[in-house]
Amino acid sequence: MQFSIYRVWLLSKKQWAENRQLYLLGLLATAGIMGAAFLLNAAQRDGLTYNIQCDVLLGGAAVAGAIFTTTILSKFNNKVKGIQALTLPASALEKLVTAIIYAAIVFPLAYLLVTYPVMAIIHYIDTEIIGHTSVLYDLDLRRNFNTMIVVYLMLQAMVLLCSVMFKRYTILKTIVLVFVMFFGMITINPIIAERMLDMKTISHSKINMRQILYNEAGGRIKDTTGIVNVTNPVLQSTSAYADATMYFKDEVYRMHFNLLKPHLITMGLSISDGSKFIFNLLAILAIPFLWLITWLRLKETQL
Amino acid sequence: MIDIKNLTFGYRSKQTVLQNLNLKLAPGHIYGLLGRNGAGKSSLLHNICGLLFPQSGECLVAGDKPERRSPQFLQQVYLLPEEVYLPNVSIKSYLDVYAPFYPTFNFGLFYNILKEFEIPAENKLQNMSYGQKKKVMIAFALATQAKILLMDEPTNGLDIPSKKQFRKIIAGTLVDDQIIIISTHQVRDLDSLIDHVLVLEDKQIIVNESTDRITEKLVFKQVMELKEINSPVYSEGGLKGYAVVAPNLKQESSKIDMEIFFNAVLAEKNQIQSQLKS
Repeated sequence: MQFSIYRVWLLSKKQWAENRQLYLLGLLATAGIMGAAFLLNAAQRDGLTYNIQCDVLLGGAAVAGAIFTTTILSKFNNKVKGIQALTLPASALEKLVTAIIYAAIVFPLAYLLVTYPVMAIIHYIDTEIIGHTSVLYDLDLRRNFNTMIVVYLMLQAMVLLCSVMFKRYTILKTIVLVFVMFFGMITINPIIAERMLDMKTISHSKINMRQILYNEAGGRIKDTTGIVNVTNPVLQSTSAYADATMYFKDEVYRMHFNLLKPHLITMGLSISDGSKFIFNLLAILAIPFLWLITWLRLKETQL
Repeated sequence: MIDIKNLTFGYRSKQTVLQNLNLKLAPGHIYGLLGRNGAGKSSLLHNICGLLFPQSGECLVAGDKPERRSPQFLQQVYLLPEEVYLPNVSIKSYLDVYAPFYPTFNFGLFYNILKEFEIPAENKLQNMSYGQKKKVMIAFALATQAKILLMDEPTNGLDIPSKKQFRKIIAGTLVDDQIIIISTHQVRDLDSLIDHVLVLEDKQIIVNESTDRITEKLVFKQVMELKEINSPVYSEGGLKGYAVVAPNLKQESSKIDMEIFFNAVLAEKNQIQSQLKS
């Protein structure tokens, strides 16, 4: 395995020199499209809310980033460009690292540098001219930083792999694969979560509950606390985030309120922090794993 | 410097293009690789530079396995393909970007060749004709001073004066520790340049001889009547009589006609081979 920072620098320089015009035009086009998307949302009843700003900005980054990333290594699949790309004196690792630098660092920074000011201007119009009330999205790095980075990198890693794996209809096949993996995760995660939740232990546990009863006007009628026995809980649903809900019938609650039937209590369940760490770790490890496969594929690429 | 043993290659496992091919090439020569369309010339060149991997056999180029595609190997082996990709940049930018990958790149040589080809150094690559682009790439290939230079149809797209310039430039830049392999159909363009002939036929190299050895064993003549030659191996009729290839029994001096020789090899393979081995 050969690696030289100098050659990575040369490859980065080459990537920029050859695509400068395309990248600048692409960024301008992205700014235009994103501006239109923000304006469209500003024209809605609620205006450009904090959450909508976040969704549009990050969603745009994921989609535009994926399209950009598809182009970086796809030259290896083109016969004429591939000869030059494969015979250029640099190792497969150096070529991959350059692609990662562009996909994971250069593009997101350039995207934010161009799109964020557009969003800020439209947010200003939305609040100062149209008259909606909202706070400008501040990238909220502390709260969503890890998730945002991991999801973005995982998507880019997947797209990089697809760009060296598929010779024809690369974008189409990438979209299909990303969707298959996305829905696969949504399907498989709840199954894993179900197996991880120990319903027997939960069944014999006692929960300290506080229940408040309100009237229609919002006034508090009753505020009680008490220990509730979890008996024969039923797992109701599990989510892709490995969280779940369950319900069980509670006798104590029935007696307390003089109800005729046992009350049905629905509760959210969450896997322990340790288990969540494993899920997060798997997600993080998936990124270098995808890069590793891309590297191996790149090494084995023939014309 | 190039040592190929029992190389088998195919785009599909059951359909091989090269089968048990053996080839040993020494530095200091310009090899002409001749073969029919689809004979596997480009496949052989691509195996040598690591663009394609052999199914079996061993291929050692400059002491390295091409399929590893190590940077050091790629610095020593340069392939000039038939169809070249050039980005939308100026010649100067192209040099700035690509030349640093080759530690022995000779900028002076590059600009000299460019001058010889009458290409303005400030041109933008995308605004140039196919022939001009080819000339820039020929200049770049030679300026890399790669130990092994592979050229696939390098004279395609060059006008007649440029072909002459090409021969002159190649002959003037070859150094003792360098190998140049030129794969071409336009053999007449390179008659005077090639000093070693490789003929690829039936998935193997069937001729691997120096032009000196060929003209020592065979004589190339132009005659009006075939009866003027005692035992011609091969002949081709034309307006000016017959071009004939015959055993060089009287140790006559003649100039190799690459096209006639190639046709003779295809038509009379066994006879030519036995003459060259004698």
